[in-house]
Amino acid sequence: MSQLTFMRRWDIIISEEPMPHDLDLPKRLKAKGWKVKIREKERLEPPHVTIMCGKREWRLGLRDGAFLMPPGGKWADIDDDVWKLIEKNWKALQDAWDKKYPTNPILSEKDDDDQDS
Amino acid sequence: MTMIKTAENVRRYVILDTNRERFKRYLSNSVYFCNTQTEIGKVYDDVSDNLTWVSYAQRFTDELVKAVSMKRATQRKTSPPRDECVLTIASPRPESVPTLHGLFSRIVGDSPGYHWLPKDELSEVLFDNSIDRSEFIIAAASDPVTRTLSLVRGNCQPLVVPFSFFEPSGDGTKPDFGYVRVTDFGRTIALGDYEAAADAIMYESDRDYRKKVTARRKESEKSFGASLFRLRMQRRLKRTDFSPLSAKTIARLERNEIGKPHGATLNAIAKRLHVAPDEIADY
Repeated sequence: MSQLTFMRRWDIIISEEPMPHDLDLPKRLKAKGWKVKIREKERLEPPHVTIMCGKREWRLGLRDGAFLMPPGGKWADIDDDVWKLIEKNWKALQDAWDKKYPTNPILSEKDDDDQDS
Repeated sequence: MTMIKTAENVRRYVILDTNRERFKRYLSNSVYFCNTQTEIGKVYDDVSDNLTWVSYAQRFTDELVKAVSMKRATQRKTSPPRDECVLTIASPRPESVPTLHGLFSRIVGDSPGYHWLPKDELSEVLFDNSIDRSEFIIAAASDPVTRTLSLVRGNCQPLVVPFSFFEPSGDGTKPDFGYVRVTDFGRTIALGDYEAAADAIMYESDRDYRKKVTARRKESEKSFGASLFRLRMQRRLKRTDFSPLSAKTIARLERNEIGKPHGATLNAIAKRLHVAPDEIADY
């Protein structure tokens, strides 16, 4: 196999990687039921990624990394390796949200003022 | 088959299938298993209301029809209408559909157009008494003529939404109503590559669900966010006074857009407010 052929095949592998709206998890995590997704129909919600494991789900805010209410949640609920992958792909997830919901982008947060009244 | 009578308000489920072993872990005093007409008749006699029959094969739906029609025909007294639902995971013979509707108040899955959750996920949703089944979707059917999508919730209640409800995504993903799947334990409706969040569908189209979610949000307001706001006001602090936490984070905590903080974050807030971390919620 020539170097050129090898490079082309590698290019194909890269291009076939799943879109970041459905984070590709290792088999071990998939087998345990973990999923990390940005789904449709959520334009009215604060930007977030949905973490699922079986029937349970958590919504992680993509602006500040905090769990949205409802249902809330805490990091202790999430497998460490899932967290590491989310952290590693944070920018890609934010970009995916912005692409999916251009009318509700990550940087549209208007509440950076300090209205104490 | 063993069966214990339970309180009348508990919904009970009867699994009609060949493989008892597959469902063994779900069986309880509210989930029964039958595979003969005699067993079906016994459950029918013992449980008079709040009952859902779940049939995994045509022949069991036929057995159910035979057993219940026999019971009804030999009934001495007129009994009040029973709240019974039949889920036909394997769609029934078309000839048996009118009889099913004559015998039971609700039938779900009476045509081959239904797409169900995968069987193992369906069992997890249907036979778990610790969850609110109405928040999960268990089946969907698409009608290209009326351009509507019929969804079935875990409590067997229908939810019908028009195709126009599913606007294309900003990244160009469009719903494919010819390829409907219910996935993620009933949390997602997949229309081809387009994966719609079930809770978002329910929030937009069901007033009762919306009220329930709003009530939960209000409940959370009672706990941490509102307490933090009141305490901060009492201490005459600004949101910018919580460094290294940003004013934005404090604002979102106060609006309950994010859950109660833990660990170092909670300690930092408490220290600035001059209270113990577990005292914030008391204000």
